[in-house]
Amino acid sequence: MISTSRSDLEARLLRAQRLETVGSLAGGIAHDFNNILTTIYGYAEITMDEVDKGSAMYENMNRIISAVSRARSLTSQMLTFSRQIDQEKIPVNIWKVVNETTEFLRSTLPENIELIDNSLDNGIFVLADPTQLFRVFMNLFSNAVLAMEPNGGKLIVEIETVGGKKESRRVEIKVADNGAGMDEEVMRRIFEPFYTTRPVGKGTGLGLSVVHGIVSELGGDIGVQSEMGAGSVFTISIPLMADNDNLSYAKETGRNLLFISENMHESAVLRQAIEKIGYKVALAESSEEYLLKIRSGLPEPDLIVFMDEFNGFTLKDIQDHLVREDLKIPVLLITGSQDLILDESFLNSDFVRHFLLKPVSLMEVKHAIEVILTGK
Amino acid sequence: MSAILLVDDESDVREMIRVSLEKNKYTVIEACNGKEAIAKFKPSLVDVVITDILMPEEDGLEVIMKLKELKPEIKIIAISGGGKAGPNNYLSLARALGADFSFGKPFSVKELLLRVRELTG
Repeated sequence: MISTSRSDLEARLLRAQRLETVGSLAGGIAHDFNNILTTIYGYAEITMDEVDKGSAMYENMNRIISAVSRARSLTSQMLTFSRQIDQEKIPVNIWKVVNETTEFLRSTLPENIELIDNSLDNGIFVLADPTQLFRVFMNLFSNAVLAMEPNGGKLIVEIETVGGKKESRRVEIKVADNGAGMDEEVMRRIFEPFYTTRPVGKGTGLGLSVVHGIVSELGGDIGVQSEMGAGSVFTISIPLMADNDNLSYAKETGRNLLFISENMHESAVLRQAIEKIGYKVALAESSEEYLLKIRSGLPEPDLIVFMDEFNGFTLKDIQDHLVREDLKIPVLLITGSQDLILDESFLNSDFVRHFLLKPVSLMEVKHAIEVILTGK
Repeated sequence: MSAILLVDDESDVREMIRVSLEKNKYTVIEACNGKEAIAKFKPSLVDVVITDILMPEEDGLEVIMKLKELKPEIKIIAISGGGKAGPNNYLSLARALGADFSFGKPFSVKELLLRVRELTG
């Protein structure tokens, strides 16, 4: 059992309760929904026990369980939508985040789409959660790419500062495409939660409403101009960081974290933010690099942050290695895979101490790291 | 005779888990919140507690802390549907306080039974 001081735990309990009572409709619905899903799941399993495997009834119960799994995923997304209200903010170089996002996007772009990044690093800083900004830009880029299917086109990104007096200076990020465009009706509604123009099953319609929520919470706004057949321009405007803004720091600075992530761009934004708040971060992009960074003679990391499994490198590989070397390094799992999280053998072992479902915010990751490290 | 103390403010969830436990020959004592759980807890009778976290009138974290004081060797399984923060945060706290296993809702009741079997020997 991890020994923790009572006042420490009481403080964490108060924080958890405060998060709970911050008046989130989505949070309340998700909680009740999860209870109802538990009942449905449970009785489906109880019934499966009482009928013949291979019978129609057994198969029907299996289908109910699959549906519960999909419903759970939707609840998660709803929670993500409501969670955007709380953001852990640090000074963020806007150009760096845009750049990381475009580099990440480049590797997945279809050949008939040209990405033109006109932005420059002018040292423009805003106060924000960079992981949320990454999501915002990824969302806009993905929508632009979809708007240009199947004929292709140009995706143009620009950054500019506007405003005269220091207090009113803002940064504007423009994302333009020459795709299908939208009519007045669609433009009026696109920021509504659950509104989507995509076919059923191809998107929940939460994306732009989350973008709107994140940007609003930063004191910014988002606008769109569009013309059917010509394309769209989304403009995000965010206030620049003021000199006296309060900054966020880790409870214990100087601790060593080892990030394992196959895609350095995807993890770059999060890693840089974690470093900004006071942790030392090393990165391993393959199992070979991981073995290089954890070897005798080098200081052991205090925590491993594992960002999703990839070919040749799974959670089990790490667990086996740590057991073989008798290393007691805790793991924080950040994954997009529901199955990995539902893999109860990891959940209920001391190996994975905490897990988060993507997309994650800086606040969640910082909190998870603190829970694991201060519980030591 | 050992019993399992089952604590959850959601009656449908409680009933489903109780049905499952009783089918597997366990004796179940039910409570609908933390306060009732602590009042009904008898150290000589109960070896395993299954408790939800977010409940009115003393939540699951209080239950874990108090029962661990009354019977340090008590075995605890925490369950949670989460709130705004999602189930993981509460379950991490539960584990830090001494819960042996944790399940985020919706969970497999078969997996829950496996862990109960493990804890009751």
